[in-house]
Amino acid sequence: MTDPSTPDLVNRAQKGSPAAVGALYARFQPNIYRYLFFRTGSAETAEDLTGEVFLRMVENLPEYRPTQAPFLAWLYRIARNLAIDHHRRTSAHPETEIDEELEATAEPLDDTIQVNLTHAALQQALASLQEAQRDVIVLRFIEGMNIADTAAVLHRTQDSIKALQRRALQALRQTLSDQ
Amino acid sequence: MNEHTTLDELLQQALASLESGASLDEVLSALPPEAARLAPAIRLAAQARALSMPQMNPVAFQYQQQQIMNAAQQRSEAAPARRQGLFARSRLVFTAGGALLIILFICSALSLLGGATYLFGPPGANAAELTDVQGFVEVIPVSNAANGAFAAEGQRVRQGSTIRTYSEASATLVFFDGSRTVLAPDSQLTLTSLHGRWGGAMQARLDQSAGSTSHTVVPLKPGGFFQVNTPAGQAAVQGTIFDVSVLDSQRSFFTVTRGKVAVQNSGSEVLLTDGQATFVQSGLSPEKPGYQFSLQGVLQIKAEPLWRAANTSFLVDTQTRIIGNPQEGDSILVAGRILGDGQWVADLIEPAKQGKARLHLTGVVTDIKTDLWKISGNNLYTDADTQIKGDPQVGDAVRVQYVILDNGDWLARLIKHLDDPTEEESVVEELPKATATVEVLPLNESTLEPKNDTQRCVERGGEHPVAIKLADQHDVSLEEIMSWYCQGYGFGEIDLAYSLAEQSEQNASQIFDLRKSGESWGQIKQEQIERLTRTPKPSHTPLPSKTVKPGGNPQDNPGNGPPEKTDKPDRPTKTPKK
Repeated sequence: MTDPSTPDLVNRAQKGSPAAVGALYARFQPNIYRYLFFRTGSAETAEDLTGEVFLRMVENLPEYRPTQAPFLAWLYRIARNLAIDHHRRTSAHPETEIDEELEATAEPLDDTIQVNLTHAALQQALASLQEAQRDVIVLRFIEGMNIADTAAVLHRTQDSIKALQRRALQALRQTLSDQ
Repeated sequence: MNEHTTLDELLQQALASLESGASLDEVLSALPPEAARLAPAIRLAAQARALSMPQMNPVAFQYQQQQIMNAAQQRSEAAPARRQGLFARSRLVFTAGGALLIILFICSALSLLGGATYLFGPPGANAAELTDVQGFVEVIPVSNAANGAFAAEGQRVRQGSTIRTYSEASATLVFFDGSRTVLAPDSQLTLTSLHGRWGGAMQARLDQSAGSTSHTVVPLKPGGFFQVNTPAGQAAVQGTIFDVSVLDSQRSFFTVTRGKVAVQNSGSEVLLTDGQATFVQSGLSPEKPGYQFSLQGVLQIKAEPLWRAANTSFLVDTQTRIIGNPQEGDSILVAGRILGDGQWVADLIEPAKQGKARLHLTGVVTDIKTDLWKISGNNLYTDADTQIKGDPQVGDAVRVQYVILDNGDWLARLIKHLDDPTEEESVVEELPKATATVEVLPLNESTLEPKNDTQRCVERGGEHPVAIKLADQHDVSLEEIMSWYCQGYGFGEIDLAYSLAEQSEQNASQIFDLRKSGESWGQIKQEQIERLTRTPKPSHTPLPSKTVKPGGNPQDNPGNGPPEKTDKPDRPTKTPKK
């Protein structure tokens, strides 16, 4: 027996099926947890916020329309909003705005520097990136999301995501090299 | 295609090859020479993809899944029985004969729909979609002004509804023709009239009673219009990008990024073009259009009529809206107009949000030399780091981000043609910097203190700009706002608590007590609505009324201010309550 499709589960969940809600949680919880893990830099926070994301999913399911966004993209948007709210509540320092364009014109990276990428190093480096850069790294290279879906989650054009991913990778590389 | 765009495309092609199974070596060896510098980024992307993925603790997973299912069960049980009855009747109707009738009905409806769409606009044209919902955003339906609910991402907002954003919240409305309106924090906007007409022309009339909105209006089709009304002045456009700020009940500020906007008030009209702004006071004609400026820096001289900040003097008069009571040495944000005679006029002065220098102006390029541009009478130097976007020429309107050098010269960091469609980004000048002399007071660090020492936090953190605005908005002391903030509440929560208190004639402490008891903000709001329903008021206005003073200075109003400041609020409940 094949697993029910996501649209089918969503449809049943919208009609009030707790089992369908549980199945949606099981299907997408790993994605949301991973996203929040790297987005917030804390396993505990990621765990708490993951629960919040799915509670909001339950609350807002009646308003969800498949034509607006793929279901997972919709969940990522909820997760992103919660992560931003969490950051605002807990940040020891106000958000600093960094001009991406100026950063992008920084000197070329030294190709000889080897970067040893670990969870901890990535988390630490991501924390120093601009919010949008952090989002695009996690969605594109941790979550494996394509350009179109990433653009849908971040409300940007695909061209803008392409530019952002280049700047984000360069900034991340630079940060990891400095660590 | 410029160099960066080419690199973006080449990088994406390389990443796509990796995604489709090509090895890293294959991808790197296929890179054209001009893209060789992308190799480190591609290697890093490959490493990130190969990382083992973190997973939630299995026990936590099972517990959380059960909690989510319980929440769904509770929600399902709470659905009105009336709906169940309706479903039951629907099933009975759907017999074979009934199905035939329904099919005939659907066919007839579809044949009419094509014509109706042309005549009356696309289906759903009288609603807009709410996206990018951040923080506390409320949608108040026209049918029940007291019964606003927190907005959901993707929610449809119908004609007549009001959207309100609380402190540090924002949202975007997307209309059926693709036009967009962004609501900044502390804003309130009503979709008074929203229709689609002949050939899909949009007719939108919005009433903005508070805050700031930014509008990107796609060129309207014949018969369409897009109007934004404020208590002082009305803006009407055909297709443009513009901002509207309601400074208070008497004053509004209109700015145009691209296109033309007619601003009307008291029977007079001024036409704003690219980069221009005007100020409107209730009962008076709109002010002369001028080019916009905004600057953030330390207030150096406060001597009317001329103030000085960020080494720039500007006129302050009785029309200027001043939030808080800025003193020399405070960090402020000033927005205003540069008039034709070169006079800088401040229309809004508010506490600065960041300890960073930001200097912007708009104007028309009148001369370009190798390293010196003349823009609406102002000399702006350029250097190798100056970004120039959109190829502006003499006669074009531009937006400039600049810094002031030690010798007083202005050095442009970015000169952007106002027709350039690329996203506006903020060039923030980190200070102190060797070349910049603009002295900026860093944000008081006490606001950033750990919140386990509330009193210390309040004493040293009294200058937080958002707190100053909230104190002004809710007519309470700054210390009172900061005392809540220092107990761990976000400014959005504080704004919400005071607004609920004002609406329900309670004091803010009572609202925060409910929150501390573990209730969600949604539950608290619902209780206040029910409370209002039980005790009808002659009239209700969703905006916070400045005539109501729920808290005031706690010392002047014992029992009405914040509670003991030693306890941190309970952590918000993260799992559904039984």
